[in-house]
Amino acid sequence: MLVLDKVAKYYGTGAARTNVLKDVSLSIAEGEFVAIVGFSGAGKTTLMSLMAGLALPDSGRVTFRGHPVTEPGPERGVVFQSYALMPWLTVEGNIALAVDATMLVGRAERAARIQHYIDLVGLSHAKDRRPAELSGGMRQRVAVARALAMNPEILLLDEPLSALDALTRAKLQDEIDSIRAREGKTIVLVTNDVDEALLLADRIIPLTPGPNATLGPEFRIALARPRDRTDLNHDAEYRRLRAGITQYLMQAAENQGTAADEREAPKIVPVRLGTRRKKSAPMRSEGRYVEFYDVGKVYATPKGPLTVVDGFDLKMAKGEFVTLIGHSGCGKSTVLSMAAGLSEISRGGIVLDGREIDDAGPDRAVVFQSPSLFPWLTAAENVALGVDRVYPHASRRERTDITAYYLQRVGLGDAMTKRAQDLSNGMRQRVGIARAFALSPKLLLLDEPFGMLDALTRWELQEVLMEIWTRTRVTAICVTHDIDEAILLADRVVMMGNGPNARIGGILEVDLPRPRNRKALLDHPKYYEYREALLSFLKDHETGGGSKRAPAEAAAQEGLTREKLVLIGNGMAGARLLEELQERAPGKYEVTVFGAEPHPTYNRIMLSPVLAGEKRFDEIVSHDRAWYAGNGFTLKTGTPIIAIDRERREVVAADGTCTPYDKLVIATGSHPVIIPVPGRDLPGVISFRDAADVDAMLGAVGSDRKAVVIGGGLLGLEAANGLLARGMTVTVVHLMATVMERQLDDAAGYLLRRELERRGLAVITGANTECIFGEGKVEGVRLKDGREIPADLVVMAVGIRPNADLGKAAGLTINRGIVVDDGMITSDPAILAVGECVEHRGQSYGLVAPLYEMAKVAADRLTGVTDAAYQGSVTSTKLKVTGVDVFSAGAFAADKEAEDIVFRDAARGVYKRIILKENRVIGAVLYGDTADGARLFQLLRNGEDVSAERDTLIFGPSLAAGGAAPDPLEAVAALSDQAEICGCNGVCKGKITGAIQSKGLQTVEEVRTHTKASASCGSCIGLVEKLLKVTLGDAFQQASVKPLCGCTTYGHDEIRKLIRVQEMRSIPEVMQQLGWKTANGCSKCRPGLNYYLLCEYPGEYRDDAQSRFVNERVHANIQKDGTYSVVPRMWGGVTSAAELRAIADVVDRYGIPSVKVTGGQRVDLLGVKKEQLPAVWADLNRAGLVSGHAYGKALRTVKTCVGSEWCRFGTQDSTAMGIALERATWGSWTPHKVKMAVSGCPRNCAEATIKDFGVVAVESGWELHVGGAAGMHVRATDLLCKVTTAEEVLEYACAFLQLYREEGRYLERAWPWIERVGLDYLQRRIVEDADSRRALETRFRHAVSFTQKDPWAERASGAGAKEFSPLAEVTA
Amino acid sequence: MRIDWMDVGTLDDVPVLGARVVRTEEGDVAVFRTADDQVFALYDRCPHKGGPLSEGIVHGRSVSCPLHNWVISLESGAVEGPDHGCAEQIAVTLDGGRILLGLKRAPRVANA
Repeated sequence: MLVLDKVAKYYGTGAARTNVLKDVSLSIAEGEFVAIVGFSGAGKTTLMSLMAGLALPDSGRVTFRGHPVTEPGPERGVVFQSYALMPWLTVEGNIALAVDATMLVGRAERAARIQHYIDLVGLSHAKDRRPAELSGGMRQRVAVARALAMNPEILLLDEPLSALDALTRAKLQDEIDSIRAREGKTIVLVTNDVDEALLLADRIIPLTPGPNATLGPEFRIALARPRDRTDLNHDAEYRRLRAGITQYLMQAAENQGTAADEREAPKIVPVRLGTRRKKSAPMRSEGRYVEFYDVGKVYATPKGPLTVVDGFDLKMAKGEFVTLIGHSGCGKSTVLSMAAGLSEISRGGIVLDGREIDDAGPDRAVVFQSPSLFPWLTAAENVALGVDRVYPHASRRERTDITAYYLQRVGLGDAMTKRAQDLSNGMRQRVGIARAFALSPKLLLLDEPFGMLDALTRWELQEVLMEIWTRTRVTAICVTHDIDEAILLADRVVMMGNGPNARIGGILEVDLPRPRNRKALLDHPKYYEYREALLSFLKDHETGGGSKRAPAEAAAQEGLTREKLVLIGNGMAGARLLEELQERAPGKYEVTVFGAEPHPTYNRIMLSPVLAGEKRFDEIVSHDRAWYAGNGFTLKTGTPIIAIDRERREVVAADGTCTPYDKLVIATGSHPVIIPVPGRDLPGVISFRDAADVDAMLGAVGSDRKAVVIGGGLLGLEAANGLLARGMTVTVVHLMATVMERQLDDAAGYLLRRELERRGLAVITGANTECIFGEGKVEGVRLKDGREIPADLVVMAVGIRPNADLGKAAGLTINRGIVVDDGMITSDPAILAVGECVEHRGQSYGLVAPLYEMAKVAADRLTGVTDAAYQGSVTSTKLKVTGVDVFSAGAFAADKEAEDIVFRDAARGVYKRIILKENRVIGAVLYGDTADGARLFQLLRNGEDVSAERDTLIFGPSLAAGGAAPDPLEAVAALSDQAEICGCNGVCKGKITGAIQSKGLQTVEEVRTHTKASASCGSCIGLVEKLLKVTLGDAFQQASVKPLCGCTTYGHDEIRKLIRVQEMRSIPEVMQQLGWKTANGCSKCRPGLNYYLLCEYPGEYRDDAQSRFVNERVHANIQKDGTYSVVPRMWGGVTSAAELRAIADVVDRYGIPSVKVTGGQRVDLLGVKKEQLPAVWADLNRAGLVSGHAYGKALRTVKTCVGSEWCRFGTQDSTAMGIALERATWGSWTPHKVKMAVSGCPRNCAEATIKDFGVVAVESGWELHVGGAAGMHVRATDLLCKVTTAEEVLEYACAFLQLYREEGRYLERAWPWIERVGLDYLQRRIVEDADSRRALETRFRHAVSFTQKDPWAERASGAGAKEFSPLAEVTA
Repeated sequence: MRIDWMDVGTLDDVPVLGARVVRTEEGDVAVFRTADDQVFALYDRCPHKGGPLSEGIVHGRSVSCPLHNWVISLESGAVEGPDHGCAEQIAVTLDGGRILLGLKRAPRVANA
């Protein structure tokens, strides 16, 4: 039928001539199925092109039914590896095209035919989809259907399935076989998969690798049909053929092999960046080098959460190689990417070498299917990128050696200087492997590393991998769908069941000798056993073809129909955009977010309070990782994007990964402006832009140190104020004549400067910086006039400029920023930009409100609202310096036609200026009293005519309305519905009052939840509160919570929140600010406030002894007769002869009347007189005994049983655990007393289940219980969770205590607190959200670092001596 | 009866919103100092169960007993709120930062 006779084909001429095919003769009979097993570069595509008539032979003849083949014809249907479908046509349309091309038929028959072919390839359910909405397998089916619809006499299949996953491949193989059987077609299949050929073909002909490729000896396949994959495995003939063909091919390949010279691997230890181990892990053993503990992955989908992987438990020894196998959608790659730290772990944990994985890091190297090299770099440079990162201390020479060594090992010794773009797929993957090994990772992760390669290259690379692995013995996990590969590589093959909720379905131990090679394996009897086990596992988990796809695949399919949105920048603008998107069309896009900084989204404008120590960083995190995960967004922090490939619609990240997009949003923010003075690069010169800058500044603060802030604008003054608050001597150097000249006029600038100087800031205006000087580090700043200001730290805060770098490199239209239209769309319609990086109508913004407005418009545009337009923003500014009220909006520069209304009250330090033009407000500057800011800003934005109220405008609305005393409520009531209350979030009064009324909101928190008002900087909380009052009237009062005490109307939670928001730092300040009804509170509120302040400002707030209950003030328990009891701490209830002797001596020496053992395993000395206390303590201290805090709302005791050290039932060392727990937590003040216990086994002899925090050892770890009590109210604990290691017990305990400290109300025991907030809330904060837990732990440890001082020792050495002695003794 | 004023110490010796004890033969006397630097003195016994008022929390013109939280007026010694009783008052006055206690008998003073 089709005959090739001595065909040859070459390219080029003369010396450059390459013979691709040589002497190829082949005759294909009618109805025959011939498989040509060829490898890439073997010339198989050339061969196919010759048969299809797409190319002509240079010698020899190709004939079809006796006629020479000179051009493509409908009798020869071709399916190529990459499918060329018409993207704008549906499945049906694509197939119809082929039907129409071949014959003229009636409409009914045409429709029937189209349907026939659609059915044939099982695509009826998807016939209306376009190619972009199809998976790879489906597209290939369309291509097959299209070829068949041409009704060819012979079907030429050129590696149609090699790009598909195993299951899809198997299904399509079955389909091809059934087409062969039903349609009786003659088929030529070119493949690189020997098993595929064996399954389908009548004849297999190997093609030797080119150049000069030719056909090898043919193998007749006389296996009975239908052929079943599992059955074939037993078939002796099959095994014989398989071994024969494989060996022939390997031999053919080997003849071309290259020998690599041996190099020594340099012996250098890599530096683990950012992976300092926090604690040692004594319980770890070599058998648990890598541990997956109940790992689960949940994705949010529009239809609710989808659990992809569930309960994945696996322990790996060091140096073990595990392969993961399973069908598509079984979550095997998900497991891998969680291990890589590229995907958030929803449940459970992964521990590598004693450290829990929570982020990507160079201790784990990943090899993806596509190696993601930088195409313009050479192979060596690509490897060197990674090497430089993990061996920063090695010399250049050593690093070069490492790079060369590994490239040599993967057989690229000769190609090191070739650019990646000039390498074949196989060579690129070799580079990828070299790079991975060169990192000397603790764990190597391979995700279908050879999936894209042809079989021979695959085999070669498997050998390369085995060889290099044998030398390094790196612990490795490889995901694959090739069972031969799985067996060849692994010590154990982990078989994954089907998703969703995929679990491990079985584990196969591969006990084959190492080093292994393919040839030897093929002869090993166990090999086929293993193979069969895997085959039958996969078969059992097969779930039918066509529309009956596994649910996870269906879900994945659904995912495919979603457009991909990539967001560069997870700052405030980016996160707001996501929020707006989620509000409009949740789940519309598959979203990947890249952030250059290592943090989740934080509120950048609140960095100033962080710098000033008024807030903690975690308090300004606005969108944490859980938020991203919960919304189904993939967040990659610490991963800057380095290039946008607009042609391929991909972004390239610094870690080398490429991510495709349909829509791209650039939100890269801005760069700090660095003025080009000499010395700007000196260490100690810092900009003020991001969290890292704040860290750098905080690293440099010190009370004896000096800072110079260059720039007296908003940012500069906030930085200066922050450093001042940290105790530094600060000088602000400002080029202009007044500070904040962009926002303030001269008068307000002067007032501000005076106030800042009063606070201790030195301000030099009109100062031109000449240079920053210093030897090796900054030592000072020299001005043009010759003045020198010494400095240990120089902060450059002169301004920002849009960060348009990426856009510029990608060829977008750039001016100052990335130019966007009113729809926030850049010069490329697929790319939008929002935030500080853009330039809109010639304007760039550096304030929050405009960014948010932009985000709204961009979200509209992304969700199909085509008329949404950004009109530019009028901005207002507030200075975030505590206690300085400054407001500025609009224009205030001198303008002949403008009129000023000015109000000054020097005594109060108030200055107001309103600038009017044609009776409209065009600008306002308020200093000292900014209450009217919102109203004026509203007038400014609306451009209202104010002639009617012009006379009273400056006094505020209440006077303007003719009222008497200014009432703040009236001022709020007077605002129009459009008045903006929350500038950060652009929430106007009408929206808030509307929400209050329609949703029945009662509290600020509820308003925040529903409207976002007060969610960002919080400065509008007061306004929101007043709105609640105005809207609800008397109902507002009724709605308020139970007050802390009679001195106030505020409840505990409100007071705590207000302390934080209003940054109140002392009891008098709280009472003043919150309008306490009494002069100095009462015995109920003062201890509460003292505790709240202590908890809020650890190390900073000065404990007020007079607001402490007597026991805590005196550090002993008062008894009914006014004497005290003394309870020394006995860590974990353990004491010693020396301690007991010291106690006995104290009892004798001071005549202590009573000694008693307490319920918490301590000794109580009762009846000590107050004056005796310091001496008693001094004596106890000498024996090492410290305060047991038995008198405090504090951690009191950790009770333990004897545990595994002595007890015949004990499973763990509960005593040591208890001691560790007590050592970690003592000295912490809590809302009420806290008692803990640790039991060594479930017999629970330490009675842990009636403690506030109880730990019970079980065989596999520790159960953590919370909320027990055994006082007047007896309550058994609730089980919080189970953990494995002692470190975890400590971490969870600290997190628990901190959460209780932060959210429990004063004098509220842990159990009522837990009942109030719910156990599931605790589990969410402490168990499920690892970030939250660690943050809590960190805060706890920070707080106790100030209080873990023995109060007895302090007093024994003289502190507070007056407390313990009478004022006077009067005798007659 | 003539009051014999006795210098027992300085105002600075008593913490603001706190108290110190003066030991006398009639029993301990608690000397209180308020936020506005007024001083008051009561016998250091709560009318309820004899708790040491000097150890209580001082607020406004009152002190809360540390044992059972009864609130006693510093100005009158009377129990405030729902409970009844009265702590015995002692005259006290300030003279240029010195605290003078008005005891009934002329005593000798030993400053501690």
